[in-house]
Parts: sequence; structure tokens; C-alpha cells
Amino acid sequence: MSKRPNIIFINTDQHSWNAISSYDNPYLHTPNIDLLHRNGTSFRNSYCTDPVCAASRSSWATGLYTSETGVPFNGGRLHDDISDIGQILKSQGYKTFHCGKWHVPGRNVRDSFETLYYGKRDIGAGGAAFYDSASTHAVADFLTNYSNSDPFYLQIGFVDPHDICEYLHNHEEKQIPNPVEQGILKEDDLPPLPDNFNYDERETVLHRVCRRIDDALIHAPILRAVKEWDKLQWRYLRWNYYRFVEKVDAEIGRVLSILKETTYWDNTLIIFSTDHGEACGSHQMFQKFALYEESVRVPLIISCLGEGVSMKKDRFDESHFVSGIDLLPTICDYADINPPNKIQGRSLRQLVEGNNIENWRDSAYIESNYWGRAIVDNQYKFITEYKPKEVEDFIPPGPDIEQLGYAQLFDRIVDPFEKNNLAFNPKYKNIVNKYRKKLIEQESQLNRRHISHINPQRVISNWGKRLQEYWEYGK
Amino acid sequence: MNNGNPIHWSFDYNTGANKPDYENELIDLINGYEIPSILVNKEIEHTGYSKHIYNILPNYWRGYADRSKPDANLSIGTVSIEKIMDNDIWNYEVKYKNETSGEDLLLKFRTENTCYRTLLNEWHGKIRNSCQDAYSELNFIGKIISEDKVRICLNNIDITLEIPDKTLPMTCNWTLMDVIPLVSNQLIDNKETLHFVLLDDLEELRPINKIGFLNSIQSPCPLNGFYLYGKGLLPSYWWIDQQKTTVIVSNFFETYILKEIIGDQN
Repeated sequence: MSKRPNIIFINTDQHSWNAISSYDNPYLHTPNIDLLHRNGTSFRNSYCTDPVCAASRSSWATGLYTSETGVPFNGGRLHDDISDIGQILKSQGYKTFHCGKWHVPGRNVRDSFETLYYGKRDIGAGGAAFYDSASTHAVADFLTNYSNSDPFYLQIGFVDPHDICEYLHNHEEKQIPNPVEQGILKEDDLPPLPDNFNYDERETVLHRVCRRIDDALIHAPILRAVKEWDKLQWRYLRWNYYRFVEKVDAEIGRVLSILKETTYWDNTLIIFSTDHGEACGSHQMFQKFALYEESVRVPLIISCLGEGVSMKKDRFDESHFVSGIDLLPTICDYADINPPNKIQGRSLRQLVEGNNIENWRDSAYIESNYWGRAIVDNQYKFITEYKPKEVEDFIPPGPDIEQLGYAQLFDRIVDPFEKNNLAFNPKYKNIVNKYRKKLIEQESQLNRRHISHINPQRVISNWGKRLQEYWEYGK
Repeated sequence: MNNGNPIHWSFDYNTGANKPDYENELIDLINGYEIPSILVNKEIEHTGYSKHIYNILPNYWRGYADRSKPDANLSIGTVSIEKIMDNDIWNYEVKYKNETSGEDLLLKFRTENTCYRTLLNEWHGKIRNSCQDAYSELNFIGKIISEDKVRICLNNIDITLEIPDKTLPMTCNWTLMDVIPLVSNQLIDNKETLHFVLLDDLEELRPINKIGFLNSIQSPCPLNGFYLYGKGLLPSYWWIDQQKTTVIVSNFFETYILKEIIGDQN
């Protein structure tokens, strides 16, 4: 490549890996993400580092896992001394721009990027209805006016389909009749319940305390509301979710339409991904925070509408496990600059070009809610948790095999929807032990760092206390 | 109605409100628009001019500028829809100002004098952003270039949009304030649903939408409700009063409540 490419990173929020029509989902239509897929490589085994916004985004920005970044949940703060993608690219001659949602707490986006549009109030969760459209306007203005000879890096953070969260909040204190009852939709218009609507209740303590019990740590009012739902309401949730995805697909389409009419479209790399997925009724769950596939597996497409960036097109990479930590080194590789030394991720460029990379990881490692952990490979998904420390030191837990709590083990080949927890089956005791060791090995590679800010410390203390009570008294 | 709540679920966004008197304030707002006294006399001849101004209310209590303040105003902006008849053609001017997004939209367009307010060539959009970022303004001109294509020229770049069904009338979301009252009898009496193509904010085509009758309510005032559903579109609910004026529109993220009418009522 003679000239360093422009790079556009388009990210959506809370976009399930399979909520794309070219991924054989018949219940929605995403012609613009499909266009990216046809012009690039889609990674089937792509996972976020942590299934919540801020945590996952901190990994995108740094190439590190969330126990390393200081953002192991939404209330964390990025450690001051970690460089982010904007700072790195800017120091190496790229013009760096940001538009839309950022949500990496502790790092002012304006210090690392020139912001095209960031809302009257800094864009946080919710508000796609007007923020996304305004973001598209800002990008249109930028793309039609950019004339600098330096290459640019532009990240566009669309908020949708995250607004499905607002749909759920809307049910907290009122009953909304389903549209079939109202005669607006026919039952056949609604997608079916997911195959794993019914689930194995033998889950980790962390998951039960955070998401299942009546006074759950996360979104208890929504949880109480959906417990009253009938199946049509769950199906209507899915119907609505797909409409949010279609809305953001249309915004992406407008960006691509404008890009195609510019002079530099041919030499522009486009990366499309999302921070985490959406349960959307799977395991009778909503939103994210869980370590099931619907929450942690995410779309990742690396694409170019022209021929200026070499890559294999219109194909799925089915074999490599890739992660949010790989984004930063991949961007650095295309930008022809060295990433920071101590990051965890690796560049995907060789894979995008159809080449083999030796010693590629055989699994993805995921963290959740500070204490939750998972490893996923071709055969199994292993989910576990750390018990809270008796004396909290505010260093994210691990590696400590003695502190591990309950486990969930799913055979991905015979049980891809994670319905049957094998961890309690004596036949799988050795498999569980193997993955416990694998987890410890993985975690021994991490630079887990003390969380010093008072606000995240409070969250850890409060949540840890609740978890401790559950472990001690089973309540 | 929702458990005795006088606010219909489609525009009741009390959840998470930090204003204890939200419900009463909302009801006051709904009942608060003033019908010019001249319109009370139904014999008056229409002047062919009207301006309807709506308050924009946030549907949720997070994600908006200054919403966490206890004294926060219910409104986060206004939208005004002004129209004048000229040679049997409606000339519209829509001004949308949203204090949270920071965007002001000015849309100018013409339509046929039919119940669907079918769009005519050409239309203009001017968008201004008041946030402290690089993007400050965007202008576009739209045009129907064939029976199945629309062209949007944006900062001298042309984008072509395919009209998904050329047999359907194409209108804009802001004319629906007029369209729904005009077709309301048909929807209520014949239990029909009507289909059309929507050009959202004159920029983005939303294919195959349908409107139908939802139900009638008596509180906080007598209103007939209608739904709008479509592909790539979240449901929205439209409420018209006895005088066939659109009083409340609740889409997914915002609710518009009629604040003032200048000129003709419809």
C-alpha cells in the first residue's frame, strides 16, 4: 500500500452478533451492514471483552482487558497513564476525529480527538433517536469537506440499538398492551421466541444476584416487570429490537452513500463492530451484563468499499477467536505505526488478507461485572465467578483458583444455545478443572491494577457486600 | 388506560421522573393549547394559512440535557409547522429545535392538496448545530428525479435513494400532523389501514408504512388515537381532538404536545 489509508470505525451499541440479515437472520433487514460484509471479512467468533458499554469501549481504546484498564464495569475510570487510540494515532501523523458516543469514563474524548459532534450534553446511554441522526449529519459534513492531505481516523459511535433499554424502562411502571391485542400486528409478524428462552437455572451466584433475584443489583424494576410478561410480549421485545437495528443500519447506509461519492472512498478502511450484544429474551433475560453468547458475541467486519485496501471479501472467518482488544493493534497495523508494547490484543490484518497467523489464540477471554469470567473456544463455553474477597483491596480478582465460585459449562457443538449446564455433571469434572486452570493461566498474563477512584470503589464495596451475604447465607 | 391513570400509556412517560407533579403538569400542558376565539365560530372561512407549534417532551428521564434538575422544564424544545396554500399547493415550513441534540432543523417543501400531502419537487433542508463541536451546519436539496428515485444533494454531493414502492404516495413525517386528521374518518369508520412511503425529515426513505385506528379516550380530553407502524420504523401514536387537530404525537423518544395554533385550526 503506497499511501496510508483513511480509517473509519463505525460502532453500534448493544448489537447482537446475529442481528444482521446477511448472517441469515430473516427477521430484520440490514442492507447496509450487508454491504460491508460483501466488501470485507466478517469474524464469526468475535467477542467483546466485557458485556457493558464503558468496559468494552475501554478495551477498544487501549487494547487491554477491563481488569487492566480501570473500567471493569460502567462506573469505572480509565487509568490516566494508559494511552488511547486517538492519542496514539495523532502522535503518528493521523488526523483523529470522533463523532457520537464515546463512553470511556475518565478520558475526555476532546483530549484525544477533534469531536465532530458530541451532543449538547455528552452523549451517554440512550437518545439514539436524535443523537444518531445528528451524528450522521456531522459525518456528512466532515466527509464532504475533508481536504487535508494527511490520512484521517474517524470513529462514529451510533447509539442504537441501545434504545431497546429505554423500551424496557418504559415497562417499569406501566402495562403496555401487546400490539396483537391492539390489532396492530398479527402474531405471525412477530419473531418467534429464541430457542433458549427456557434455560438452565444453575447459574453463578454473581449472575443470580445481579440479574435474577427480586432485588437484583442491576435493573430490578425491569426484571419485576418482565416477570409478568406473556410470550407475546417477549416476542414483541424482539420485534422492537430488530427495528432499532434497522434504524441504525439506515444511518450507516447514509454514511456509506456519502463516502462512496467522495474522492477517497477507495482508500478507506471501514471497521464495523459493537460494544456488546443484547439478550433479547434468550435465557429469559434482557439487555447485557451476562456471559451468554447473545451478550458477549459481537459482529466484527473489516471492509473496504473499493480496492485501495487489500483484503479478502465476502467471506466469514469461522476459525479465529478475536476480541475487542484486537481493535487497537489492527488499526495501528493498517496505519503503519507500532502499537504500545504492553497491550493484550493482536492485529487482525493478516487474517483479513486471508493469511495464516501462527499461534493465534484458541479461545476468547471475557470478564463481566468485576467478578465474572468466561472462556470460550470451539468446543466449550466455560463461565465462572470469583467470590468477593473478605477484605476488598480494589484490585480486580484473579488469578486465584481457590477463590473461584460456581461454574457453568456448555458444549457449544451439541448445545449452541447454552441450555444445559454440564458443570454439575460428574462426567465433566475434569473438563471443568481443565478450564479453571486455563482461566488461571490466562489471568496470570494480565496486569490487573488497583482501582483508586472512590466512586468505582463504592460500587465494588456495595456489590461485594451483597454477594458476600449470598455466599454466606444463601440470600 | 393504565390502572386508572388518566394518561394513556402511549404518552405516559412518568417512569423515572424526578418531578412528583409530572402527571398534572402533563395534563395541564395537553389541555393548555389555546384555540383562537375566531375559530370557535365554525362558519369562518379558512384563510389557507396556519402555524401549529408543539412542545417537545422527552419520553425518558435520562439522556437529555439538564433533565436531572428538579426544576427542569418539561419541554426540551419546540417544533412549528407552518403552511400556506398557494394555487392549490401547500407550502410548508417546519422548524424543529431540540435543546438536547443541539440541532435546529429548517425544512421547506411543497405538497399536493390531497389527503396524503404527496411531496412535490423540490425541497430544502438547513440544519444547524449549536454544540461546541466541529460540525455547525448542513444544507441539502431534495428532488424526485424519476417515479422510483429521489436525489438528495448534500454539500454538492448527490445521493440517490430508491423509492421502494412507486405505487404508494410519498409524504413527509411532518405532514402527518395534517394527513391523519384528513383520513381519520376513513380509518375509524371503515376500519381500514392506509399505506404510504415516508421521507423522514425529507432525508431518509422509510418504506411501506401503515396507519390505522387505535382507540378513543375521554381523559384528559376526548381524543381519537391512531398508530403508525412501518419497516425500519419504531411505532408512533397520534391523537387528534374533536376539532380534528393533532394534539399529541408520541414517537419512541419524544412526545409532541400542541402548544399554540396561529391561523386556521386545520
